[in-house]
Amino acid sequence: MLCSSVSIPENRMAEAKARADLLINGNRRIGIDVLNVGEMDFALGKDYLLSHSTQTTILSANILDRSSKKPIFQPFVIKEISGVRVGIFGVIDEKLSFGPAQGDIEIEEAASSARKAVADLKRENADLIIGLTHLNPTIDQRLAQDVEGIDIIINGHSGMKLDKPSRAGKTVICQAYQRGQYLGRLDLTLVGKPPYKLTDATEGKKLARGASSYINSLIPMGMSIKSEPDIEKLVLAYKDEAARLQREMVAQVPTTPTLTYRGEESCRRCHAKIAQFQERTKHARAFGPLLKKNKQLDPQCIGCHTTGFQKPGGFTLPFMVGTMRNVQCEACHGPAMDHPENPIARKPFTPVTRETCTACHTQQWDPKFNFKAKLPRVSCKSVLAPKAH
Amino acid sequence: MKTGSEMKSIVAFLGLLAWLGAGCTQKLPNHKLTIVYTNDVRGEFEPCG
Repeated sequence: MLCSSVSIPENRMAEAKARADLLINGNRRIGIDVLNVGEMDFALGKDYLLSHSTQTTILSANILDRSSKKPIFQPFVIKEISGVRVGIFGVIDEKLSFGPAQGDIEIEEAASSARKAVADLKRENADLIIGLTHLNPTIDQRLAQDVEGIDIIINGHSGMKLDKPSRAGKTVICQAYQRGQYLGRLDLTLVGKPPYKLTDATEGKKLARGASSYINSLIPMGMSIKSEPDIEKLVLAYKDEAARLQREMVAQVPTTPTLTYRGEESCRRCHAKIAQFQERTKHARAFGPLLKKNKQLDPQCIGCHTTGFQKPGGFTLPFMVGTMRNVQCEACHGPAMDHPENPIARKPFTPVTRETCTACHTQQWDPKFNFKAKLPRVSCKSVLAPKAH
Repeated sequence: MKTGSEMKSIVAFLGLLAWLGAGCTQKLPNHKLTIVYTNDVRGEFEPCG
């Protein structure tokens, strides 16, 4: 996906566009043949995607222009690969929200568009038909059963990790997890003439004579893989541009600090023992990894590695982090406001619940997080009470 | 000793066997291709935990 949400605040639009340009140009340089769009890809508007569709093959069989009722992208494409005519179409879930772009487009029912695309591909003598789907897994299963002739579905919405593809009748369904963390590789051996009956070659059963087969693997995109120099240049250029845009925004924002988030020093005055305990936790060192990986200006990372980012009364831009680095007391307990001056009258502390922690320790970012096991490591309860006010 | 008609039947049968055998050993078209796919690439990614 080119964007992180269906709508983007006006003051973040330039940075979001710079990131989307990086992704779509990077995909092109990598040599990706076709892309299927998701709903968040429309956050910069339909025209942004259309401007790129002349250089990158963007598919969708069921996203229509609201006025003309015609598909705004190519519904399908045929690629000749190793003597096989591979037909590929794209569909998206018609029930998804497209945010502000919804006014310009209409989404036809996915199954009906898929049926038309498959019929067209068969008329064009496609030997193998692949559906790129932005649907949830249940709908994929139903699509495979309702639309005859789809050999392979590659799903790009549910974010599941399928080392072993699932099956729905004759259709093989693949999914490579999320955020580009894995590259899926499907090696096909097609024997005889279509339609091909695909069998998983890793199941250990002897393949029948003339049977077509597949081997699927998911390759982790870890740090051991060297960066490709041209792509790295694009990434560095984007980071420079993002930093420049943020400095421009900072110059326009009033600098008078609010008194809502006070920072850990104001807590330490009375809660010294707790402060000493917290200094020894990982929360107190949360900002370091961002500096190490040059992500201290990345809005996607800052929120969980600092305190009060884009919260009411907190700092609004990564550049303004100041003394709010790391996960401080107020990150979990809420803004102190004037509690240091009025400790009895104002006790703002928000109770810590599982949701306090899982707001950052999400399944996506910290899949092994165990709330019960981890809470005692950072909980203040075990530490002595503060000195008398 | 085989008669002429019996010989014809045997030859016909042998011919049929030869035709079937040719069909069984004929090489089927065989294509190997690889599809590479990924999802939701948003730029750099590293797990936090």
